[in-house]
Amino acid sequence: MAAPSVPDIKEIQRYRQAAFLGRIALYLIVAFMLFYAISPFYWMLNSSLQLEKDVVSVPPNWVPPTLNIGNYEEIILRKPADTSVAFDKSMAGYSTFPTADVLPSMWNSFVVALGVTIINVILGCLAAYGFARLYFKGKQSLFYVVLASRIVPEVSLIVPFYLMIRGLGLLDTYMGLIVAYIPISLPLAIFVLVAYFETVPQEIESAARVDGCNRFQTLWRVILPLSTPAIVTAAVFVFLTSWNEFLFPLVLTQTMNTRPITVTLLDFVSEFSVSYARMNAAGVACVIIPVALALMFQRYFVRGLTAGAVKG
Amino acid sequence: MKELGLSRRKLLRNAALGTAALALPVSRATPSAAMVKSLNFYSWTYGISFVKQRIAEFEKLAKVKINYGNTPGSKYHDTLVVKFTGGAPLDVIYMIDGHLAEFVEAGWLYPIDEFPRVDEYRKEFIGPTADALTYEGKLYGLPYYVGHMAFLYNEEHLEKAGIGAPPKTWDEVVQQSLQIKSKGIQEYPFLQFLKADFWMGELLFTMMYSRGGRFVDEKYNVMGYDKENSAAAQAIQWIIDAAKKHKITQPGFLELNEVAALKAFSSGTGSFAILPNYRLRAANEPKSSKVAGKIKMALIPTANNAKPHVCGWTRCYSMTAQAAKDPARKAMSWKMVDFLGGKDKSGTYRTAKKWFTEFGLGFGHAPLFKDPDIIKAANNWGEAKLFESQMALSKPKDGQKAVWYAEWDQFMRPRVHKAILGQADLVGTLKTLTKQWNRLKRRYG
Amino acid sequence: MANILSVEGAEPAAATGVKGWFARRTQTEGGIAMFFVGPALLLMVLLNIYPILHSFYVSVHVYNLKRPHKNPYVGFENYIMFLESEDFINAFTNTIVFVVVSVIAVALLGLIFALALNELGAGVRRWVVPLILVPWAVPYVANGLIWEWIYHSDYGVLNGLLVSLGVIDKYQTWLSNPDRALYTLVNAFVWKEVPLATVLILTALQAIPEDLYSAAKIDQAGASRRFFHITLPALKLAFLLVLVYSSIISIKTFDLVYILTEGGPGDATALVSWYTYVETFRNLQFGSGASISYVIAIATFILAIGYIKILYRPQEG
Repeated sequence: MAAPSVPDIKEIQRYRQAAFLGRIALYLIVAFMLFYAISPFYWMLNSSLQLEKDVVSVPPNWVPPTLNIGNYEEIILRKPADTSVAFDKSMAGYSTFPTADVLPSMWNSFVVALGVTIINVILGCLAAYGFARLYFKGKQSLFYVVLASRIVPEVSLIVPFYLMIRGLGLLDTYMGLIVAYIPISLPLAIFVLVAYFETVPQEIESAARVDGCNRFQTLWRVILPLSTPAIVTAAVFVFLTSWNEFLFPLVLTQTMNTRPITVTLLDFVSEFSVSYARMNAAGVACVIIPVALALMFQRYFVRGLTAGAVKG
Repeated sequence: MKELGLSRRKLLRNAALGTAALALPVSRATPSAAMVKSLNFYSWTYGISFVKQRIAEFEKLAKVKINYGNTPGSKYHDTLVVKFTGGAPLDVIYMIDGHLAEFVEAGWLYPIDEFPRVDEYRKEFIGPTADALTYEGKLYGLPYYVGHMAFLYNEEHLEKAGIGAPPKTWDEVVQQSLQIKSKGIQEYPFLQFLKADFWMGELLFTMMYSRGGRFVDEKYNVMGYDKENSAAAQAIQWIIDAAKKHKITQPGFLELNEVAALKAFSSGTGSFAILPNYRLRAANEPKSSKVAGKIKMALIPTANNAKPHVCGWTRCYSMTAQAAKDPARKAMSWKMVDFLGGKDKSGTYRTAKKWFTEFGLGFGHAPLFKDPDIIKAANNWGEAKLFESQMALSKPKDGQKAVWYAEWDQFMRPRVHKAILGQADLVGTLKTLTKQWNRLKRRYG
Repeated sequence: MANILSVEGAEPAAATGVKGWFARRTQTEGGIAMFFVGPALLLMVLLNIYPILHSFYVSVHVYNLKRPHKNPYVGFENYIMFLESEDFINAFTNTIVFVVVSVIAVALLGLIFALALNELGAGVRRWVVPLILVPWAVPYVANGLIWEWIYHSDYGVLNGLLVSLGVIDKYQTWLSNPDRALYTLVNAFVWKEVPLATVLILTALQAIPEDLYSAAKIDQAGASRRFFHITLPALKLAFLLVLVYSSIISIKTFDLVYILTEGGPGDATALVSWYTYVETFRNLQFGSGASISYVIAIATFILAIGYIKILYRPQEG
């Protein structure tokens, strides 16, 4: 609007004002964003560090009036404060939270998620290379089939999966869960990796091929080292998806040998009203590892996802 | 230790006697029980500390390892369905009478009539128990506990409001509540819980029975349930009025579950509540209740000059069909059912008795009414006489043994919620429920 | 593309047996591709095909566990039955509302957040991005727990906060209020899904070459024109991803309903996945449960195709 030649003082002032207001608006949005993302999480943490009587106070305590780490002690020492019948009576029959199960089930979640991550990243890298770099008939449609294979809702796949896992003799084993989880996150891993591999310049690969590398060697020596962000991103995606899985393990696990933390958490949530503080502590146990992973590796995500979000 | 050794010897002798009796009709069933190394037991989570104690005792006595699992009551049905469908190992389980028909038809349970002592136990069942645990002439378990919905009140609130006696009719409940409310003692004197879970049926049936209503007869024909002024319509209308017109019920009652209601009541919220009878014990427990000693039970208020009937239920220990496939496993499973739901060597229903004296859970065995320990415990937090008379007036849910009952119950919950929320016409809702019942009856009949 | 073919073929095709098969395979690019794509593909097929076929088989039979010995083939009767059922129609309507509101909220909030982050200095952004990613890492079960506790009608912090801010004067019910319940679910869903959308859109924003903007500035294009002509077109693919991904996830939403509302109050939050669950595990009607899933799957597929058709025109951009 303004002619660029003569910068009018008013014009500049107005511009500065607008810039200033824009800045304020920006910081307000960012503040809201942070509040929105973090406050629910904070609230769980806050509640988990309170005594049961403080948790149910009105108005709520914004910080713990007395810091109580008892709920975490129960989890870490793997025993509830009191397992006597007398205490149980005093809790209306609901004293026995599965606090002892929290750590073992976190371990189960970890082992299974790690197993799926290793398998899916390896399979994903191989497949992604094939899709990104090699020509074969029906490639496009196969790619879509892989991506779309998981749109049947889990609810109706549970029973056949159960039968299948049982048929393989893998019921209540880590392997059984791993087998069930693989197809859930493999498409996602492939998608992220394909998009990234396609951005690796063809010339680098051609050079390697001229030097006598076969396809596997090219993938291993040239593509993979250049693709760390995508591999990390895919790995974290797979890990989180597997850790977060709920309906499948609810059905596929029988005992504490394999029961993951999400299912153990359900026991706390179902007896919701008995101890809000304990429930929140178990909630923290359920999210701590995925959140830590996301925080640790997030710096790779932007680069790892760029290819998928920009090029496709 | 000495005691234990003795009891084990006795038990072994009993088992041997049992074997002898059994050996005639069912050859070589029991001797192989010793071959069973482990048994799978599954329950919902209530009084787990005590359950584990009993399991440990049984493990020592029977020399068997119990793989014990449990899940919260609200998830129990669905979890078991999944486990049974997938063929997960289950031998002895807790059962809800309302799901008995469904589970038997699905082929998951095994009747226990063939075992010795069952007839003896059956003779001593209290009123509704035998019927609740029988499906098509066969008995599917021994009672874990028998309960019913009970009318509880906070004596202190009533005194403060100058009310001499607890209400005898539903109209009086409203009057007294308004009186308590107007004096500022409680904002919402009638504590109601009506979350759409398995307690909802028990609660609505109680409200209906106490107004003289019925749902279906023995042949599953609907009995005026959907009439303009039926007891069911009155009951639901009363709930709506309590919430909207009189404002004596707290606003969040549709999301409140049974445990939360107990917790609220024990913390002094509410002057009246309908809760499972065993909650009288918990509400008067000084360690967990702020109002211990002040909570009393009264016969359920009525309307239409009806008798104070309440809805009752029976929970039991059942044996699964898969356990019964293997004779050894079957024998061991029965041993466990007997251990938990039957008499010990001294002739007392030890587990059932302990459930009552420790937790207030009612029993399904008539002789226990005469047990001095029971009477003493009952008088401790209530009145033994009242306990017995309300129990005698409890009836199971009409139609709960129809194989489609649970399906109808599931259909009912959201619809009654909608009627209460004013999103649906009340009588229209009852008509819909009746229609669905008849449709299901035709489909399964 | 196909000219790479000639680079392979180091071995002669004369050998027989396994080795010969291997040699012949590795001669064509398509053959080699099978070694790369094969394992993943095989696993996907093996692990998906049986469950999918099995549930399809179940869906065309009466499969009522309460009558285990009567499982006649009924063709598409299950499908017709539930399509006519008012419970399904209600669940379907709820799902549409849930999906539409959720997806729009995720995309819009994601866009606003990403634009804001993009304006921040790199130093600040480095601290903010990880923090806003936290909800994304929270499992849905824990997510349900967190919000159930926040919404609690007696002790919830939402009530506490609103009262202390003077917005409301008395604690309210959230989850048992039929007008709000579905949106409480939407909120829990959006809270978890927005971070990923934000990061996806942010990556696309950062990939826009700076000189495009400089050029536009020289052309004296206003901020809004720059936004609509440069920024938005560059975000198309990121949006497509966000839309497809959050639609698929939201259509299948189950954990949240299971933990937070169980479909209530009334049937206000009964989504199709919940309806399927009830039909399957509460009513033991495995046949009709499976048939519903098929319809959901097909609907999801059509939706995904629709998005791609609308947003992904190869000529543009």
